[in-house]
Amino acid sequence: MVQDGLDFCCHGCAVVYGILHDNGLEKYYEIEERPGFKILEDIKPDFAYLDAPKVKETLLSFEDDVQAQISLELPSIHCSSCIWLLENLHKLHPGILFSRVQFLEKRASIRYDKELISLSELAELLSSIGYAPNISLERDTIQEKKKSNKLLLQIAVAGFCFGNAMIFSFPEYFGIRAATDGVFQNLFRYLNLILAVPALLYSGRDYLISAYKSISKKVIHINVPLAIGIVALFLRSAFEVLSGIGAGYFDSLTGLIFFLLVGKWFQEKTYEHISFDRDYRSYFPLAVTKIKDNNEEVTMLSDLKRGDRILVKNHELIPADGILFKGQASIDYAFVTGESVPVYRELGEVIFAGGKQLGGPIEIELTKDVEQSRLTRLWNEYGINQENSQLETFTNQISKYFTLGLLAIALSTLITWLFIDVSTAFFAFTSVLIVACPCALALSTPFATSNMMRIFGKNNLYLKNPRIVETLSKIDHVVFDKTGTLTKSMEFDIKYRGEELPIKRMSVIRSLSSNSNHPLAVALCDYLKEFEIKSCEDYKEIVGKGIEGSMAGEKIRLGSHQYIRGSKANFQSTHIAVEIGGHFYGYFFFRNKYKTGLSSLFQRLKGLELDLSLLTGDGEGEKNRLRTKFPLLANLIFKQDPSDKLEAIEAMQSNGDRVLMIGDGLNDAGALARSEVGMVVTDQVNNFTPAANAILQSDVFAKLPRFIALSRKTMTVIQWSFVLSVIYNLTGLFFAVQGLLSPVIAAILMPLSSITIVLFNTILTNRIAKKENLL
Amino acid sequence: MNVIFLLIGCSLLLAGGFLAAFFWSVKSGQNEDLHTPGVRVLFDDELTNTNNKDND
Repeated sequence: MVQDGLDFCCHGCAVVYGILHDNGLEKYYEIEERPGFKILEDIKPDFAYLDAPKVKETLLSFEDDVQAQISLELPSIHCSSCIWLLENLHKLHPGILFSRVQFLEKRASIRYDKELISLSELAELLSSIGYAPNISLERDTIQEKKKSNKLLLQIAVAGFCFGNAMIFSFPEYFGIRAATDGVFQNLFRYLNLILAVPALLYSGRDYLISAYKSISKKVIHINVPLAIGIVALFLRSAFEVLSGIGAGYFDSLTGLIFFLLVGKWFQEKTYEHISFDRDYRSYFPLAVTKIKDNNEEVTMLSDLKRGDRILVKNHELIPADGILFKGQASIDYAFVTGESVPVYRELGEVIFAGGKQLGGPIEIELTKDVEQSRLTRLWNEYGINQENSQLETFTNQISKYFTLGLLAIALSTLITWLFIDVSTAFFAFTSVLIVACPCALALSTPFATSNMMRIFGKNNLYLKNPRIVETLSKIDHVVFDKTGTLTKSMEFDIKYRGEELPIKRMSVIRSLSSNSNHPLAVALCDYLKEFEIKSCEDYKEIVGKGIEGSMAGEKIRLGSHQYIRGSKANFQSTHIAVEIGGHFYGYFFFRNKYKTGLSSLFQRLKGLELDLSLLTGDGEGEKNRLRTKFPLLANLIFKQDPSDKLEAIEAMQSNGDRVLMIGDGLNDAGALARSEVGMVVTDQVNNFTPAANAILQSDVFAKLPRFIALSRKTMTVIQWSFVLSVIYNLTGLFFAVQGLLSPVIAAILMPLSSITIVLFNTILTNRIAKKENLL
Repeated sequence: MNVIFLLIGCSLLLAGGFLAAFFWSVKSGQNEDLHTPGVRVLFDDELTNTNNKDND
């Protein structure tokens, strides 16, 4: 469509242009080549609830008599034009004082004048230019941010101490006479000692604390030998300096802490802009319209109670289980089940929470509290907010034996030397503890897995954290959800059964169905695309039932069996019944189309010695089709409600299976959270997805076997680098047990081993990824 | 050679200053958003240009 001599893809975009043009903001279109989002749905959400004082109170980050500030999630932020426009909001409305965009988080903080604009007007303004805010119950988590900031500061301090300690140690290494004489020697040694204190107590604090904790729990964690090494280094060095017999190993100590923290930082690096922990609270609305004594009243979701009657308007979400009281309910449960065809409910029928009403407003009387509804109970009763069942990591398994072996060698060195030469015994003992410090071992897993996570991310598989790479490698059972995961959401296999339809009739059917945007009508229209569309009159859509219209004097009706024939159907399949001119012809039957390439996907997964299962909420109608189509899907489980799915996963785990659950809807949330790895398949990574460890973009679904194979190879790389680091440790031990470990050898050996391990892991993981064509 | 005391003192102070500056930058939130400011700085330039044109 054309406006002002410019071509627009749709009406929505043209409207946005109009608003921007009137306010002199056309620059928006100059910054990027194709800014703006196609505005798909022409729905005006109702933001009136935002002005209720209680709602405002929870949302505003700051408020005084004149101004208020809010941070809003704006999911359509996607390019630099967006930043520019949103930061120039004050030109659109005088009430907006200031706006700042956080691009990666897709958020904007906006400060506004309360006299000039209300919160609901602000939200409407934003959605009128295509940035409808996503307002939900879940509040921002600022705590995690602070933690990673602390790590950055610790790295900075360790780096500062390391760099300076190394410079002050050079004179000792090179034996520069002038600098190692008397006063200077002591100056450098004491400066090093002073520098080591903040490195140990501030930067290295977490290692010491965690080692102490794990010892008091009688578990040996990788941090135990690390802490022993660090403490031994510090005490030995401090002793040497204070008694004036040597320079100590302060450069090695600070360097060790620095490298360890960098490794930790790598391991904690995650995709901050992708939410992995969304639960129902980020999906449900903040407030709903309650009907009390025939008045509409905005109520916070948390204040809703059983027995309340609520009003659900077009495209609003049903927050709790209830009974339909008034109106025609046509509910889209796509986010819950993955099924895109809306479900129709009659007055008095039970409506489950989580669906979106399409069509006119409906009234529901709640029979359950929000927390007690079928969907939300999963979170509250099963406590699936807890961490997934974590498998013991390779590093921790090894570090048990490592620590015990280390202590054995150290003690036998001590005892042996006590017999030979008491003065050397202390040095040899501490040298063993120092040199056996498994820093290379501690570094290999973070670098290998986080590099692999980055490679997966480039291929559109996003992991919650690098540890998932290791968990993924140990999987032996893959469980799929059916609807939306294995099937395509908007495509159907269509078959016609009934009296033969002449071509003219086909054209009539297509013409009528082209008027509706019900998914089945759209699919039917597409299926009949070889026939011509003509205009039809008296078009009417009866929500949840069917459509009708007339062409060339004949009345055409398409819809459910019940709507067309007046009686309840005795079959379950999705269908459209056809009636033309009062004559019933037959049915179009719709079946979900399976994604392409599934057979070869299953074959390759089977080749990786994985068991394959399917969990679905549907009935057994598809059983035979699935059996013949995908014989490799050995285990098919039907009629699973959300808590059944969770229990099915638990049953598999109690058989000793390690489960990878692949799903897409909220009804898989329990199963996703309980399995070792929960993976969500989605078209758009920033869409709402239930909590999971991994998010897979659906176009790379076929790469799944390669991802699993690669995660296994990553573990092989880690095992090899472990061999490498043991070789380093043995070399060091060779000197240490003889009491010959000089500061120079330590200063060379420690950074050298750390750096080679980092390079070894990074280069090898890149190579194996290249071999699998994923890099 | 005694000048070394002074030089070392200076170098430590300088490095410590940078460390303090890093602390300040992290604490003042400069690490929270590493993407947007890079884009924003480009806009500001262009904006002043257009404003100037308007004034002309």
